[in-house]
Amino acid sequence: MRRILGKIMKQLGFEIFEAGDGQEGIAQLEKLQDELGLVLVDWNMPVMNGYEFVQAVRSQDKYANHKLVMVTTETEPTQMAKALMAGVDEFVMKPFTSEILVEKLQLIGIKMPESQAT
Amino acid sequence: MSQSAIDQTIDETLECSRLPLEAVAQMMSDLFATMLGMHFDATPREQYHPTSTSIQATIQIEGDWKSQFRAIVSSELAHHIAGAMFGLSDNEVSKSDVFDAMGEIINVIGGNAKGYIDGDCQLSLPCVAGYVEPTQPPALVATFECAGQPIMIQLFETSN
Repeated sequence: MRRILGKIMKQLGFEIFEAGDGQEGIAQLEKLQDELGLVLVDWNMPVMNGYEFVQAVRSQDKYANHKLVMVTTETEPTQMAKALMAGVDEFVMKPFTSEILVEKLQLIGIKMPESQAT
Repeated sequence: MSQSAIDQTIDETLECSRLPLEAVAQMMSDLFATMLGMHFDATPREQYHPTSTSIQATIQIEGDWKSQFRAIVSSELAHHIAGAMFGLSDNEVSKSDVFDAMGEIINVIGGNAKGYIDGDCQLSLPCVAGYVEPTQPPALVATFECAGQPIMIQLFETSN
């Protein structure tokens, strides 16, 4: 999923950084925290899943302003509520289109790079 | 049950009471046509007969609905899917691209299917490999057409 998201985000004009699982994601955040404003995270990942990743990120004040979007097939209301409580800002349900992704990003105040602004 | 008896159950479209075939067709149409921009025909067609070169993606659902989903396609279709997913031409697609793409396909199918079931369920990580004959009769089998080629979905329930 990260490769699909990466492709779409690059097409939208964003600079992207990728991680293969939640732990790698935490390491990327540590390294690049000032450069990153948005994290798109899959729920279903090896090593550390998306929910655990969100919990880990939100446990640190320095990431309070980072937007976290969960990309998932999860439709179970209790699971979604759990993720929201943990600090997810928005969900993108799979399968999705680039238009849906853009709408969701705009909903949480992410500005499109100038060339793609709608 | 003998292998030939299992094979016979796979010869025809088989519906599962817990997951309507229409729901499977719709989720696959959303995935292939809407997300990947591929031609997808949601009408069940004659069953696909996998070969030794076919690619099989598998995902388990654990919890209140113990089940396993498999998507089986030809190597050629797997390459098309990977190309559509990652924006590559078929001859640029690597084996790793095919495995990533088919893993994502079965992840979306399993995840969406899970949404139809009441109860607490979790998805495993997907597994992609060559085709392996099933060792039990499926609860659901259907073959659809994607980019002019068959894609077979099998669902196995291990308990209720």
